[in-house]
Amino acid sequence: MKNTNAFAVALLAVGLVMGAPARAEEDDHSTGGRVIPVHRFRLLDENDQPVRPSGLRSWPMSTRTTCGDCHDYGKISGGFHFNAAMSDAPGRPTEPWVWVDRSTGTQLPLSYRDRPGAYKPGEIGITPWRFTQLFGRHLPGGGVSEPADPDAEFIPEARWLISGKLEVNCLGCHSTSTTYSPSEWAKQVGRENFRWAATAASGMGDAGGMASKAPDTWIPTINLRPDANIYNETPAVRYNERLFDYKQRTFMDLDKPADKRCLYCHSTTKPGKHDWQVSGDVHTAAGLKCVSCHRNGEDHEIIRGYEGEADHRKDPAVAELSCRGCHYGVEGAKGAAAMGGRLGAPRPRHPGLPPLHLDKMTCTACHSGPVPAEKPTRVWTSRANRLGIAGAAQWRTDAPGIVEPVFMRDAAGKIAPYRMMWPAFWGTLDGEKVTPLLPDDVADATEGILNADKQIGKVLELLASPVREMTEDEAALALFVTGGKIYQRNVDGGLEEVGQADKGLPEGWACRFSEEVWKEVEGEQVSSTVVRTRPLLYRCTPEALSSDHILRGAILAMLRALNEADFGKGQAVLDTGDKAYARAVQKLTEKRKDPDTGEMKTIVSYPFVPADIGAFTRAGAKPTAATLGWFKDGTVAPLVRDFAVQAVSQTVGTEASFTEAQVARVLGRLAERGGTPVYVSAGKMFRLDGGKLVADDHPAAEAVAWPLAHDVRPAAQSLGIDQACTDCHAWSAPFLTADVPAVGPIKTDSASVKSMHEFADLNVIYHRILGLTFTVRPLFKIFLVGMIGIIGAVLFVYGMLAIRGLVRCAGPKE
Amino acid sequence: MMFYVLVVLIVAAVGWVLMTRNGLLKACLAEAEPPASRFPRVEALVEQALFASFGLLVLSGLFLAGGVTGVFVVLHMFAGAIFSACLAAIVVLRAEANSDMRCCCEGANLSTFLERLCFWALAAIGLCMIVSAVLLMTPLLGSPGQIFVTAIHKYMSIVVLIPGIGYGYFAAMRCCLNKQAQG
Repeated sequence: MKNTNAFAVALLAVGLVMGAPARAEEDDHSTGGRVIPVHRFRLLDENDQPVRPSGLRSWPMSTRTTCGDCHDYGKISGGFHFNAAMSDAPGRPTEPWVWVDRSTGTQLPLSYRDRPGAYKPGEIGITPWRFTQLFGRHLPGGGVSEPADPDAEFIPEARWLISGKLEVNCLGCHSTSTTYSPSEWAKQVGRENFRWAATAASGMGDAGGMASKAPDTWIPTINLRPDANIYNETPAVRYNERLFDYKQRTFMDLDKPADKRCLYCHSTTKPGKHDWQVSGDVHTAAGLKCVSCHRNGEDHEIIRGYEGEADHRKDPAVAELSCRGCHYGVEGAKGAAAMGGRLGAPRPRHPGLPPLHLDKMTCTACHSGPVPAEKPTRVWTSRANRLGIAGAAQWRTDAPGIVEPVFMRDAAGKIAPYRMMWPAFWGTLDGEKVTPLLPDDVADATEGILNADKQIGKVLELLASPVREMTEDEAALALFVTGGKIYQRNVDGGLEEVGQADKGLPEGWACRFSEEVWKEVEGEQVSSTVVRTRPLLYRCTPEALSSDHILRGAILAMLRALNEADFGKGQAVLDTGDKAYARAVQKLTEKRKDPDTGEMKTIVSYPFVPADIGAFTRAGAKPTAATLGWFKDGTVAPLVRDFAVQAVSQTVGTEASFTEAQVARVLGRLAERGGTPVYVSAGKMFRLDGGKLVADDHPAAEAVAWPLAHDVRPAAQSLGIDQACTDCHAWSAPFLTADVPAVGPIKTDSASVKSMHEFADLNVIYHRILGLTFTVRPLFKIFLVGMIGIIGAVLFVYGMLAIRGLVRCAGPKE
Repeated sequence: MMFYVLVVLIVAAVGWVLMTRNGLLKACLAEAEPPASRFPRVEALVEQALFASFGLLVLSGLFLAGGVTGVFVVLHMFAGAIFSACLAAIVVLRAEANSDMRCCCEGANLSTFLERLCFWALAAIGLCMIVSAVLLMTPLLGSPGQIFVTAIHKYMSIVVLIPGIGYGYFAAMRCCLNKQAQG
């Protein structure tokens, strides 16, 4: 028996030993060579069934099943790009996701990772579904966007069963095909076509329909409503059959990620700069790819390349791919790793640079981002400002206001360049803690108060057609005049300045039109076209109102348009100062002769006319000329409130979206709900104190920063090149003293303005004095060289004499 | 750490020699003919400035051993400028007086020899220190060179303590003797 057991154990051991390599091979699908194999295979859908490309309403490809057929999908989906909500591994702070909602002035930094300044979505009521809706455009799929159990999210808005999960989009990075479209991915995600997005983006097929429009009862597997119209139809894929062979296999051009794939999510642009002015990263110019340094294994734990990453990951080999690792080699390593020069990286000489700089600063401090200026540079980032999405709609936003470089200390205490933004959101103050209110929660409180430009823009849109009718000019424009400036409605529905107002042009609504003018030139009548800008109802007099049918028709059209727009502010009226007229139906009885019979007939009609509303009270000043207003509860008020008009003159054409007065009004409304409402923006926390708006410092208003590493400038453009120590060591060097004003939607004089040295925790007095020494440094060097010359000369002379004395001593005595 | 230990050891050793052998050295000095001094007042003034700046360099240097940063860098540079100027001046003024080193060979008193030895050692090492300081401020050296020259500067600063303190002692004693002689 004993022998039998021993034999069995031995067999088992042999089996384990023999089986081990086989399992290792099973896990690793590498061919062992460096060549990426051709990817030609059948596509599988999310039910692991082969996709039939010939169907009109085929299923989309699933990366989980198609790619996961050979690669370890589970392992990959635990990688750095997908594990934000799952991993608590330490690491350098990453760029937060920013929920930008212009209508409520919200710029809320979010991150599933534990990073200072950003809110964890789950803690403030943002569900994975909402997060995916908001940021799926630039998400690589997986993670929270691919919930293991969609039913676990018991909220009415989550429709994972209809939209499908947003699986890891392998093609988003690995497709080198020119037909892969990240913009299509963003659009499909915007339509909640999560399970269709990768297929549509790949260019293998076209995904029509919108899951967002599908009824809650729609079941994709049954796929009812195949004949619905294209905009309302439920999503389905129509594959490009020419891309499939007779075995229904397709070729996918896959490789290590190309730079263009990385840059879709990881690029920056400076507002106002043309594409041709951007040179990109010096490493790219040298022929490197993003993945030359940012490498990963099948686990997709991408090397980020920052100093200290090797310690965080407890993997010394990671240090080889940091700036220092490549250029200098790894301290303490052996062999090639210690030598540096990986990928041909030149070994920096840093002539004249005290080595201390290499200990106190990161490489990026001198080599990355824009050269420090008097103020940090505004920058758009792909993910925050929604860059890179092409299409008819404008996806890009100016907000959030991100600036770079701001020099701060990293976790190791080294000075490094950072990007920075300031949170902006409505919240409630409870003790010392501010809890953000999401845009949906404050939308009703901000309604009609914020977005003054949009309010006026809406009115201008409604007035446009009647103005053309009134002026008999098809190109006539409705305008708004305030603060000596003329505004017109822009494509976004807001306002844009189109010029300065003449002195005679009163504030308020106006119109611009062309008029033909006849002049006598040398006895002949010659016409010319003159563009005029006049008050909106410049022709409106009591007499004209009854006699000028064109004017009356235009006014009635304006009143009708305003009433139908349903502003909720009452009935639109014509306000002439003394009287107000509303659009009303009037019974009109006329006697006319029938042209056929010659008999007189009584004809009754009910035309709309401007009808006097009678006595009223007035909110605001009496207008000097006829204008439009709202009539409600016996009071005539202007179309747009004074605070909104002031907001327009103060904010249009500027960074800001609204004024302190508007914020105070919204806070007043929010206070009616109870608690202490606050608005965080521009580095301050605004609250009402006795009805007055006050701005306080608060940790919730502090800037959120994350380190920048790219673009790396050429060595010739680095800080301190050619002994330019004064790039940083000067009395007013931007590196030290540049102002960093907080950016936010509110127009305020209370905005936080800090000096760069405050962020870097540097003693400005000392550094300024040190900087001053650099102004005399050349003289100092000359002086020291002079002293060296004198001491050296004396030592030389007496040294020679000493040698002579020694020779004499050693020689024969007389 | 090693730097601080070396500094303490050297200062203690030189101090011990000067304090415990005080009587002997004084006796030697009393017997000695003070070296000829052409501008005694100027020399005394320059020597005072030299040793004041030397002291400042030592003190500020102690703070810089851990890293060349902070307000002590400015102080060190300021003191270094004065020290180099004074050293150049004192070398010019007293080279002749300290040129005769035969006092040792011919059995003359020890203190004169030690003073002269300290003088020339201070001049030579001081020169090296100034050269290394200038090198650190010029773009001639890359990072490894900078690190090497910084180390040279750092460890020579320990060595220079011996002639520096020694010469300071003898200069002070000489000054006292001159005053006694005048008094």
